[in-house]
Amino acid sequence: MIYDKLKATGRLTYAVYDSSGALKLQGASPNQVKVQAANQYRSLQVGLPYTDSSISTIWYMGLIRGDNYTTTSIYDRYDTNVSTHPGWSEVSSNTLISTLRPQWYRAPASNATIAGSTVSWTSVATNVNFSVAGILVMTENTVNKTIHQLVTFPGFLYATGIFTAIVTLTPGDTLEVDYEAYLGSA
Amino acid sequence: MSGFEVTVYRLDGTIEKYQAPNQVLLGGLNLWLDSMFRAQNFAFLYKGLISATSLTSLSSSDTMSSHPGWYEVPSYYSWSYTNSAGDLALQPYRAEYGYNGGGELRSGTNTLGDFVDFTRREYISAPYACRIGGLFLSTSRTITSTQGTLFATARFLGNEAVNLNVGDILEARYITDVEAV
Repeated sequence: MIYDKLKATGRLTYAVYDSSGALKLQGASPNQVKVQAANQYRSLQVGLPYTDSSISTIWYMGLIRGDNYTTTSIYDRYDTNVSTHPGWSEVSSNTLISTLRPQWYRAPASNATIAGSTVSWTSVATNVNFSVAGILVMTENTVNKTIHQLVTFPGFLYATGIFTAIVTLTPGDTLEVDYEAYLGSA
Repeated sequence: MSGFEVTVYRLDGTIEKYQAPNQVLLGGLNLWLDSMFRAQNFAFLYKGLISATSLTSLSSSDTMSSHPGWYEVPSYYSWSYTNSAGDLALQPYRAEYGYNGGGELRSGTNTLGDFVDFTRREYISAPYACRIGGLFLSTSRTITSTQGTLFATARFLGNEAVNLNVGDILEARYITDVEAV
């Protein structure tokens, strides 16, 4: 177990249910941890908080739009100081029942893994179909709100995860996602 | 390489360099993840010396309370802060690694939080001659304490043993890297 370099990785599993609760589809895919997150790990190890404040205690997930998705990058960021994710944008809140990103509750780390609660989104029943390419994991809860002051909002984009195929949600559908983050030599 | 780069400065002026590849243990990985996602304060890490005497193996299941293949050098000193003014002195503790430690901070994050390069050098000496087989990182500061989390262990390449004589100074530089994939 000699590590030349530790790798921050992860996995997501997802399922879509219709309004009657019937399973429509399910899948699993790896995630892509961002360079910013790797930086955070290294800062933590030497006792430095990220930027100039403590890490948020709260984590959320958002949805990546499927209609204009092209790619993700390990250099993606989602804050105003350096907000860059040219290959994707987020699903806006008007297609979802909730205007906030749902919270992801994490269990204590075990076996070099952090897992947590199942996160779900339900499409607005009166809206049209929309497509989802994947998810994002970050420390800010308002959909499409960028983190404009790092001092005030010490959050950052940890990872994105892209589904194996674009998922189309019809009115009343519920998308459920489970996410696990790993740290190791994988 | 991820691990320890060790330089020994002898009293006679000679300088020797050694490498000890890193083995981050499960307790260390869990500590890291909890710090990232559950806002657990990342406890300060301390560098300790593994005795070459009776060293048989380092195991991935080693913990601070159980590491049957090795034991710690029972007495050594490290440079540590003595007060809030930042005064440094040799103290009978494991060498503190990190932002508040007594070593030299080579670099850090910039204002946007972008990683530059953390390479810290802590300095250790011993009150009597000893033979060192490697180093470890622990969340406990007290030498020979079995408390805390054993974060990582490292053995010198080629299972080499390094003599640390009275008056010698051992400089331990720890490097680890996390890759985003």
